[in-house]
Amino acid sequence: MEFQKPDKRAINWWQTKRFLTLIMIVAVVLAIRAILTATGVLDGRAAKIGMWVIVALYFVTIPLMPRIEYKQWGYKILEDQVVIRHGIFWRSETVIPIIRIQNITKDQGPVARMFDLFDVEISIASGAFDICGVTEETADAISQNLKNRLYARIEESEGDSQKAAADLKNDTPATGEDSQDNGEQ
Amino acid sequence: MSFGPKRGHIVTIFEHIISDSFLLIAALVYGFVTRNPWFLLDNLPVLLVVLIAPVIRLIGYLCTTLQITDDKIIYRTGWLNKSVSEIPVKSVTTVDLTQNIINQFTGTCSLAIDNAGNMAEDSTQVRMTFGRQEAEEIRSMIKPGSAVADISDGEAVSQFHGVSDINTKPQYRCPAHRLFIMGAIKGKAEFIASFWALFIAGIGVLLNFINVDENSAHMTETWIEKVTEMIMGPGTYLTGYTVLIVEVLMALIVISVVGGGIYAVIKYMDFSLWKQEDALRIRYGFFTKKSYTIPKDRITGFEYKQSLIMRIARVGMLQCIAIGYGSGGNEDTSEESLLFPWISDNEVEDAIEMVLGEDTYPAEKDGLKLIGKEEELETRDPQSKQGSSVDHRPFRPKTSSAYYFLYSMSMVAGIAGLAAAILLYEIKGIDIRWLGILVLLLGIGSCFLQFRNSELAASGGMIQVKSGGFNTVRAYIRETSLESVSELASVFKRRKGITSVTCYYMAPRGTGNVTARNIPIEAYGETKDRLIY
Repeated sequence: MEFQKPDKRAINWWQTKRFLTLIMIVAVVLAIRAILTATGVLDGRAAKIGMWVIVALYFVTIPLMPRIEYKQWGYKILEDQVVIRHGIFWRSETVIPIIRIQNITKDQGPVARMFDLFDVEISIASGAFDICGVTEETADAISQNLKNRLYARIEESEGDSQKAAADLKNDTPATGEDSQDNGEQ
Repeated sequence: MSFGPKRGHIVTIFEHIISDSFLLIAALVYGFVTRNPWFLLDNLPVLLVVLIAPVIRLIGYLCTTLQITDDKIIYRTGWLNKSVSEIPVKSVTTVDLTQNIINQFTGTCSLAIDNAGNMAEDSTQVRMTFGRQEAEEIRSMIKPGSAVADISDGEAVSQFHGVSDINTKPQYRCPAHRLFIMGAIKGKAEFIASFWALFIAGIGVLLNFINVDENSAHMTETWIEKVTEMIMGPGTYLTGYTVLIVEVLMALIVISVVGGGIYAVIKYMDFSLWKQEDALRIRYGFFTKKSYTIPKDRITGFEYKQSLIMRIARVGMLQCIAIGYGSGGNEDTSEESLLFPWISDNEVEDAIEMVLGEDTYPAEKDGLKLIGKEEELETRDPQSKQGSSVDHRPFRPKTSSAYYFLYSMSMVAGIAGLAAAILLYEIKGIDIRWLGILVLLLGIGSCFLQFRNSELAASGGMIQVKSGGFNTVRAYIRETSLESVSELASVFKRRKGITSVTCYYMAPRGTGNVTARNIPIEAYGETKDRLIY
């Protein structure tokens, strides 16, 4: 089964998030530069230029990185597990057994609202993992699909447990009769 | 059988008086030492805040009651924000007793009741102080996972009563000398950082006590200079900063070793472990006596921790990973998960088997069948090492991937330390470049040790993950508690078949994970196969 992709608008969403992050980085850089200049630690032109180079490099990545990330991003929902793959330079793949899912949440932040996109958060007891950048219809479909598979797995496990318990009961002989039989022998 | 509703013991108001009044006591001491009797009055508004604490505790005492019925525990607390908690007795997982020094003098106990509802929390559900006899009776009434016991039934009392547990011989007891050695050789980074912060803050006060004698200062410098001349050649000149840093480092090391040992003896005095049918009972403490239980079915795994010196001595500490235990440093709100303060390398797996007391590779757990595992057990070829999904030899980083460990925070810290030392010399003329080189060498050493210690293996129903530099942790995670697995690698590493594998499991605060870095990618596939689907 192939990996499913987020919606194409996720690229614009991530670019917007990066742009907003850039604004915060610029504010922090300006503050640090002001403090270091006032205390006399940083006088050199080289240091000031260096700081702006960092800002410029980050600015360049805004259009580029989300496109690369979109190519790497993928998820697939199998019969018994969810696999999520993402990352740019460092790619990560996570396997989540469906039987371990505790709850499924649909999130939409303020920036995602501009693009009408959602995150589906899959929570297990030891953490949470997101399927990012999907439309509301897709998010609802994923959520329903996972719930159906989870209930099916639980029913299957309970059925197997009951069958195993019944098999065990049928295999185990009654102790009273056995003792008598053994004694006679 | 029922209990209450009843308030706790009046000692509740005063049992934390030392910590509540610490600021007041510190101010009195400072005023006495500096011979400034007006110090206290000058800062009275701030210190009055300290006196609010007993008033808050009095209000809390008057507004808090505990009631136990046949099937539930009702805990009422709060004055402005009233809260009523109803806890089904069958959901209770632990009922534990603690006695600090004031409790011991007054014959009282702090009773803590927990259930699975605080899996992701750091605090206990119910915590109240009662007289010792009353606390023991309450603990006898509540057996985790069962209905309330009638303590008028002699058999129930003998089965559940804490006194009978303590009178039997424990499965494990740690002698005081081993506790001292354990405390002395434990990892010191946190202790040194805390002490350094206290030292800087308190140096003004300390100078009132310490009069630096010219002769003693001269002797120390001469000794340090002699050693330096031996190492770096005759005529080597030491700056005052070098002498000061060396003296402080030496003092820190001595204090951390001796102080760590003494602290461990006091904290873990008479550490004893009893193994019951479905739980472990642990007791320790000198000033603060603790007695608590860990249900076996809450144990998701174990951690074997070793500092560098412990690894050389082939000993370490074994803790369990259990929901609701060991999630923070606050002993008032969460019991520790330490099982064996002193254990040797080759005793660890035996200790785990002794604790669990079961086949560590169960076929079924809570209705979740390990699909296919039984068949694999029957058809497994014991000679086969490839493709076996039951036991496999450890996955370790290849020698060719050792340099990937240089991309770590240890290396960043080492380079930053050297850069800072060079900058200080260039800008301010303070020559501690040797310290920068030392920090860099420590960073490189840490990276090398991380390469040596990275490992992932599976055997006996447990996933073992080892990680760490100077201080190592080997985590043993029960396969039935393995929640999910992920792998992370750059494009270049992936092409070489190298990745970092992270295992997620249920732990204190709900989230636990451990990572084996830069190991062969086959480890990810093997570990994925062990998930329960």
